[in-house]
This record gives sequence, C-alpha cells and structure tokens, in this order.
Amino acid sequence: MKLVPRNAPHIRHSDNSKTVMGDMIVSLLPLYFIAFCYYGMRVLVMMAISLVVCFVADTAGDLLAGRGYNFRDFSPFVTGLLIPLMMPATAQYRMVVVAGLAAILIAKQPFGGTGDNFFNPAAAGIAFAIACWPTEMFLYPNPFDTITVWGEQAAQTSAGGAFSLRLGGIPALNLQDMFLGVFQGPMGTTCVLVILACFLYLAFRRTIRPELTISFLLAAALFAFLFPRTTAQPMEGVLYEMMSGTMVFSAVFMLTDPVTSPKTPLACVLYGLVAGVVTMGFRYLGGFEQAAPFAILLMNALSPLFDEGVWRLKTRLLKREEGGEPDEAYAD
Amino acid sequence: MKILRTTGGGVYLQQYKEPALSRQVVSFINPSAPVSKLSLPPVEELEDLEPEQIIQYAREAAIVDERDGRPLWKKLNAGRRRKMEIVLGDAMDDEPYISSQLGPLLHFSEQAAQGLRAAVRAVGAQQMAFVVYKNLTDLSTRIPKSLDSIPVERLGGKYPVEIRANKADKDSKETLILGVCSLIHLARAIHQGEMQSTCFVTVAGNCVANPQNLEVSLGMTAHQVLERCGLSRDPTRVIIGGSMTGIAVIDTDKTLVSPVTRGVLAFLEDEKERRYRCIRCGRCINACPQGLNPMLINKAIKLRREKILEEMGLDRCIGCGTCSYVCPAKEEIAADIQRYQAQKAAKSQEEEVLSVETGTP
Amino acid sequence: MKLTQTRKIYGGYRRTNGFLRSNAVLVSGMALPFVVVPTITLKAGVAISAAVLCSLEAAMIVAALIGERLPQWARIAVSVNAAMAAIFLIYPLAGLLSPQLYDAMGIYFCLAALNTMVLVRTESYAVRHTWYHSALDGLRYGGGFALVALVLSAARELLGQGTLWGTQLLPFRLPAVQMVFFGFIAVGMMAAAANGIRRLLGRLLWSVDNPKPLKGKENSLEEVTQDA
Repeated sequence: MKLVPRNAPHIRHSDNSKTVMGDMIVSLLPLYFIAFCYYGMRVLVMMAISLVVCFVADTAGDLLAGRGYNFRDFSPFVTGLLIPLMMPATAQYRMVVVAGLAAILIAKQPFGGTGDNFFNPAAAGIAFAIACWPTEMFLYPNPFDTITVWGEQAAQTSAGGAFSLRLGGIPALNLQDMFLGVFQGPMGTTCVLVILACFLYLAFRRTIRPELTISFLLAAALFAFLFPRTTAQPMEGVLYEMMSGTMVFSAVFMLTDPVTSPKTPLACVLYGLVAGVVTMGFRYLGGFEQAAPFAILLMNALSPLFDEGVWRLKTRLLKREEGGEPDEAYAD
Repeated sequence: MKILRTTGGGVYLQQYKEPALSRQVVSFINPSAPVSKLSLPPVEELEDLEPEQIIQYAREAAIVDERDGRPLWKKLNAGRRRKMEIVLGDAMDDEPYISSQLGPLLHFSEQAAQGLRAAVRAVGAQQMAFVVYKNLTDLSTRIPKSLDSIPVERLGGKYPVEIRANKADKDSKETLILGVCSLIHLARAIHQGEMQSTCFVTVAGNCVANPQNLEVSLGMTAHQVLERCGLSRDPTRVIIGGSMTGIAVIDTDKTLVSPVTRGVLAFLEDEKERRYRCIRCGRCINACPQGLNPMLINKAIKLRREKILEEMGLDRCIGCGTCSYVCPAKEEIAADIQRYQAQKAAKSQEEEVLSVETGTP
Repeated sequence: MKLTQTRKIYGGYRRTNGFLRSNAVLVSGMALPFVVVPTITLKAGVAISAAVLCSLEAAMIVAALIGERLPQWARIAVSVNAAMAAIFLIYPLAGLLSPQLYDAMGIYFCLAALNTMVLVRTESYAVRHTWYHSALDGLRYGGGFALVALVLSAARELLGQGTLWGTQLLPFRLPAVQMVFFGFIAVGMMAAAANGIRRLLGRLLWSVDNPKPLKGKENSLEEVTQDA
C-alpha cells in the first residue's frame, strides 16, 4: 500500500471552501431568477459578463503575483455575481466590466488576493462605478418593461425610491409591491422577501454571521425611526427607508463577507450597530442616494479595531477573574 | 461530580464506534512471545494486600497507563502521597472510531472493577467511579448505570472531553484519573500474577473488513494487526492512535504496537488535495476549546512573527485538532502549532547547551 | 556566477539616483500630493513638472552656493525663497499652455516650492557638494518626478476624458479616474510595475552573463574551467 505522511487530525469536517462559496452562490441565484422575471434576458447577459471578467482578472492577478491559482476557489464568482445585482437592468455593459475590473484589480489583488483583501471587492467595484457614472447608475427601468439586450436602450428609465426619499417625499408604493420588488430599483436588491429567505438559509448554514445583519438593520431602523426624512408615519417611513436602495442586500451579502468582518460575536454586534448608523448618516448627509457600499468600505477599514478591542477586553476580564497561574506541573 | 469546567468551544463529532464496540474483544497473541510471571504470588482477596504492596505489583508488572504513557505505579504513588479522594476509571473514548477503553470495560467489567478497587485501596481514596462519554450517537449496546456495583458516570460535552478532563485532573488535588485498560492489567497482575504483555487496540476505518477491538501482544506490527482484521481495500492513510490526534504511518511493517496505541485505523480517501486559502471565516475561533485564536496564530506562524506569537498564549494549546477539523480551507493549524512549539523548544534547548558550553548566561 | 556585463551596466545605473535607481516618487515617496492631485490632464502634468523641476533646481544651486556658511534655519529659508522666485518666473508660462490651468491646479502650483524634495535634497546633498553636482542632482530628482507625473497625467486624461492634450482620442470616459483616490491607487500600481520592470531587466541582464548551459558533458566542463 502506498502511504503518504499526513497531519492530524485525520478526519475532517465535510465543509470546505468550495461548499462555503457554493452556499453564497446558491443564495444569489434566486435573485437573478427574480430579476430575469422582471427585466428579461439582459440580466443574464450582465451576469455572464461580470462572471467572466472577475474570473479572468482574479486568475491573472494571482498568476502575476506568483500565488498559485485554484479554480475551485469560487470567490471571484461570488464577487462577479454580486456586482450586477446592484446596478440597474439598463446599465451598459461597459459599466459592468469596469466595476468588475476595479473590484478585483484595485480592491482585491493588490492587497493579497483571496482571503487577504482588506476591502469588500464588490462594494469597491460598485463605488467605482458610481463615481464614474453618477447619473446612469441611478436611473432604473420599470419592471416588466421590455429591455433590449444589445444596442441602444429604448426603455424608459426613472429615478428610484431612494431618490424620492432624498427629496423628502414618499415613494408611491404599497406594501406588497415593496416586499416583492415590483418597483424601480437596482436589479437584485428590490425583492426583499427573497433576500430575507436567502439570509435565513445562510444563517442556518453558518456561512455568514447573522449578528452582523440583524444589528445593522436594527440600528438603521432605529435611526430612521428617530430622525425621519419623510412626512409619512414613522413606521412607514422606516419601511420605505429599508426597502429602498441596497440596504437589506448589503446587510445580508456584503457586510457579512467573512474576510472583512469581525469574528467574535460581540465585535460583530458592535460593528453592525456602527455600520447602521454610518450608513444612515451617509444617506442623509452624503452626495449619492445609495450609501451602503461607501459605508461598508469605511467600516471595512475599521473592522480589525473591533476584534482587537473585544479581545483585549476579554483578556483583561479573564485575568481579573482567574488571578494567579492555574496550571501547575504534575510533579511526582 | 464536577470534573471539568467546559468553557465553550469544541465540536460534536460523529462517533462511528459500531460495529467494533459491540463485538467481542478478541485476543491476538503472539504465541512465540515469552509470558513472564511476576515474582510476587497472585492473591485471591484484595484485603490481604497492603497499599504499598499493590503499588509493588503495579511496578513489577510494568503496567503503563494507555492515555498518557506514564507508569501506573508512579501515578498510584503520587495519588497516595497527595491523599487523593476520588479515583476515576477513564473509559471516555471521545475520538471517532476509537473504543479501546470502552470495549474492554464492557467486556471485562469484572476485572476492571477489581482493578479499580485495588487502585482505590492503594491510593487510600473514598470514592470511585468509571467515566464514559455521553454523546455517543450510534451505539448498539447499552452502557449500564453501574458495573459490579461501581457507578458509571456519564460525562457529556463537545469534543475534546478526555483531553480536558485529564488536564483538569492535573490541576485538581483530589481526583486521580486512571485508564481502564491499565486497571484491567492491574487486576490480572494481582489475581493472576501476570505482567502486562498485551494492550487493547481498536482496528477500524473504511478499509477494514471486520472492525474490532483486539487484545494484541505488545510488539506486533501494525501490518499484522490490520491483516488480522482484514483489509477490504487498499488504504491511503494508516493511523496509529486516535483519529483526531494520531500519527500517520508510512511503513506498517516497521510500526509496532505499544501500550499507548489506542487504535490502528485505515482510511481510503478520494478527495484530492486542493490548495485553498484561509478565508477568515472564524470557525476555528468558535471551535477552540481553550479560547485561543487559531486564525491569527496560523497567520503569525506562516509569516514568522515571533513577537505576536509570544502573547497569543500557545502554551494553552492542548493539541486536540478541533481547529484543523472545522477549517473549510483545510489549513493544518494544529500541526503547524505543534511544529512551531517543537522548533522553539529545540532552539531554546540549543541555546541552553551553548550557554553552558561557553559559560555565558 | 559571472557578473561582467551586470557590473558594467550597474555602474551607470548607480549614477541615476533619483531618476531611475531610487525614483523620487515611486521609491522614495517624495512629493506625493503633487504627483497625485494636479495631474489631471497632460497639460497640467507638464505645468506641475516644470514648477517642481525649476523650484528644485533653484533651491539646490542656492543651497550649494551657501554651503555651511549659514545655520540650518537660515539656509532653509533662503533656499525656499529661491524656489519661490523660480516659481514666480514660471507662473506666467503655465498660462501659455492653457488659461484654465490655474483653476484646475489650484494651490499646488505655488506650493511646489515647499515640497519634500526641496527640503530633503538641499539639506542632505546640496550643502556638501558643489553647485554643479547639486544642479545635476536636482535635474535627476526633478526628472524622476516629471517621469511619473507625465505618465500619470497622460493616462488619467486618456482614461478620464478620452483626450490627450486636448484632442479626443477615445470614445468613452471614466470620470472616477480623475479623482484623487484613483491617483493614489495609480501611484501604488506604478511603483509595483516599476519594481517588476527593474527585476525583470535585472534578471535579463544576469542571463546575458550566465546563459543556460547546453546539454552535454563537455560544455559544463568548459564552463567550469573558464570560470576559474
């Protein structure tokens, strides 16, 4: 028998990086399906372009930097799936390409590639695209309009819900439309019901840390409740704020990126709370109507602080509790 | 009784102890190996012996505790000197596939009880019990509540339980934990006058045709043991020891069975090795029973940041392997930590030798 | 290992301190705001390079002429004033390039008199060397800055507006490229690229000296005897 030396432990959990990333991909595909039902074939073409661009850029970056490539590492695919969902369905293909290249070649590869990126690549890609095309990224088509796949866009585009909230008005929607996403908005972030279902799936599989999402949404809701922008009832105003823009989507998929978010539960809760407040601050006082990608980039820069702080607090508490040295040698 | 204080961490493991546990413990004796008799005569009644004499029996029979490899007589001596109150027979097999303590306990329960009583008499303790692991999911046999009127305590919790219990025993002043197989050998030494010439080994794995607990002569090769139980497929991995903390074997003809070999496992794996990268998911942090941060320790070892490693508390690592078990990127965290600690120990030893030779402090 | 060719070229390479060897911006990290913020179009790049170059030259020559005669604080004051004077002279020339340049570059044109290179190079080099060598050093460092600024501004104008020196070349535009944050990212990428080029050229040069041996025993024996 041919035996090779291996390290203990000799049995391993059945989860591997492939399944973890596979979970994320599986939870993003229903959103594409819904977007396909609302906006047609163009959605799938954008998805294909984004996947190809991200994968090629990631492999090229890995080879340039001298790290080996591993095709079963699905992380560029996750980034590639996240980017088009935050764009309008009428976004031109060059926007998708530029966002994908910026995400991988600026925010991921120079920092170390998979597992070492300091900023969320999808958030960075979308932020770059917003900075390049501030008007086109916020003009959304109506659902169930026909959108041409190639060539000139004939569909009528208009501003989304976040724009009306910025002006202090109320988007003209009823609750069912808001939950199912039958209104103008980014391709994948409007159908809140599906996003919440995907969140439950990911939380139960322990792929993401649910404390982040829950604390983020709670903090943002509380902020919207206490300082409303619109003239509607407070609870309705909170719902409008939540359902517009990329809030819920970012909270579930981008804030909870395992590489950039804190690891200990207490640090996660604090991180989510601060991120919620920062996002609402960006929304109220910032230049663009969508705030979540920028707020997430800012919080990513601060995320090691939360982990370190909680760690130091814990060691200090443990030292005070235990007192002297608990381990003594077993001498005979 | 409270043996250990679980502080969280650890992981529930699928145990796979059947069918080896329910089968008889079969002997696999080397017929040409000499069986020595003790110079001390066998006795019938335990009360005829003084405690020091029991320790003499243990010393002459060269009984080794199968969990930590220390001679039984030394442990009994230490227990006697420290006037320990409780003696526990350790039959916790919390690593998957291994039942080399639980099987003999159930099949040789009389001898185990006799051995435990002898140990209690030698140490001068008041209480005694057997300890088994509670979270065994797939058992065909029932573990009774008491064996020969000695209570059987069930200790539950996530893996690692045995390592933590043994560690807590080191810290406590009143509990002495002895392996059940060494107690069986102690009973045989006292009542039949035999030296320890066998040990109990579990042979299991997905390549073994008849997984069983065997009583094997010391000095048999792993190859012979595997052949005795039959190999249905060619394994890619043969392990001596537990499935989580064991050592991989390269040449089964040159690997011998010793008292601390708890199992010989043979696995065939299909999955090819892939080079995944740590995605900082943090599962190792949740899983570590000692409250360490294996993610940062792994990074620091790879980047050779000595200063950071000093404050990471690596001496608290118990080598259970839970961090490597849950890691989705299949990083070898536990192995890296052990290798780093061995290197550090070797380097400090070198420095000590150098300082002695050159006379510098 | 043979190093004859390498030594020959390395001698000359060593004398390009500030330009190629330890580039002022990419390796030494000097004057970063000036290379990142105003370099939005190629004309602006030319203007800021000229400002930095002339102010550096003036400061170096004046500092070399003063030498150790004045204490440090006085020396710095005089050199910076010389740099400011040079910028005064250059200022109208920027208007010749394009009248909108003054608004586009804002404060950075005048602030070029106080950049890191002026302060560092005058104090560490000019006071101890002759004015001739200091002038050459100023040329090298200013040239290093100009190299990076021109490449960066050309790229940013091309990608950001699709033009080059005012003439439209590309059909699309990415306005984010002309923002400050991308300037910093681009300087980082250029530093990495420059490092890569340096290593590649070094390896090529080494392989000229040490070509891969042909298969066969006689050739390897010959090489061994030649080396000794």
